[in-house]
Amino acid sequence: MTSGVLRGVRVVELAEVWAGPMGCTLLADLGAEVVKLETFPRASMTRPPVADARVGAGDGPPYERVNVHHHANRNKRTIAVDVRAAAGAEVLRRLVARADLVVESFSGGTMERLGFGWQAIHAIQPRASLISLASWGQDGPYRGYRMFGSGLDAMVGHHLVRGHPGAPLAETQPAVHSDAAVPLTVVFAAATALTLREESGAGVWIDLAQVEDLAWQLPAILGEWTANGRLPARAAGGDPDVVPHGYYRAAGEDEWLCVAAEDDAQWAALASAMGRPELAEDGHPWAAVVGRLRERAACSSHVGC
Amino acid sequence: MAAGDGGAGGGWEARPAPALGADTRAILEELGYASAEQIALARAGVAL
Repeated sequence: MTSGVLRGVRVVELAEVWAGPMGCTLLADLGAEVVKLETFPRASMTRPPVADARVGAGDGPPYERVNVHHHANRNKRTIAVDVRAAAGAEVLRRLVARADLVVESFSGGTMERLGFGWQAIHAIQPRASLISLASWGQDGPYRGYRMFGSGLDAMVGHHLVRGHPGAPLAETQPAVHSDAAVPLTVVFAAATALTLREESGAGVWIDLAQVEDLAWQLPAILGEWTANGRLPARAAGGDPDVVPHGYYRAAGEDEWLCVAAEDDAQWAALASAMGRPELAEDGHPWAAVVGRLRERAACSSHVGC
Repeated sequence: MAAGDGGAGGGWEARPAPALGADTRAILEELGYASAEQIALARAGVAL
């Protein structure tokens, strides 16, 4: 499952919540030595100073009992330093001086304000790469905006394509696409940076805007909009090219089936399983996919209870 | 596979997330801070 392929690679992490920390945990899983520089005295968002709904049962201070923090920070070491103080900044400078990768998830411009923008990082350690995970990247009209997973999902369009037509838009906390996608891209970015360094001997700055990591998840939607100026309707559990395709109430209490008949053979098998083989026989309008698409609602209504 | 062998295709070492500041002193030591300097950083509220 994992290996020591990154053994000997030193990573300095300045990241909170999930995407950045989980990305660095994956690097640690692969053998990298990750030092997480934790904010201090300001508490990390996943280290609440007083108990709230996220804090689990048990002994110890509340900031040690949040499951999200523990899941996203295994296999690391941690140092708690106030980098806004001059003496703390010197600690960070020494960490960077021995680093191969620096991963940060501040909003665009924050590292520069702290005195650790790319030029400074490169001056301290020319072989080190900087991976920046600002939600909106390092330039553009939204540079500096702070945004987390559910907001990114909404801005990219995930909320617009989920759910039933006409239903209110809804976020899907705590399942967030950006938090699922970005950690894996951090690993890809790290591999890219280290490979480029093999060739040039120098580190690189990778501006990994989280919003861009999400946008390519919706190619059909983006293509339909940019090419045709159309925003596809929300499909609920449906598929524009497959009928039936959806979630259907089953006989039990709150029990559901997900059913999809992707071609005529599958439709014939489904019709037979439903005890209605005639629905797929030659001559029936639903025997071929064109007919099922044409009569989507009627065909779909024959599935389920 | 033995946990923690770390070789290619080997096991998976999973150490829990460290407590806040758990490794601060050790890392400061690696960075060249003498014991007195570490204490001074802590007393100044710069390090935990």
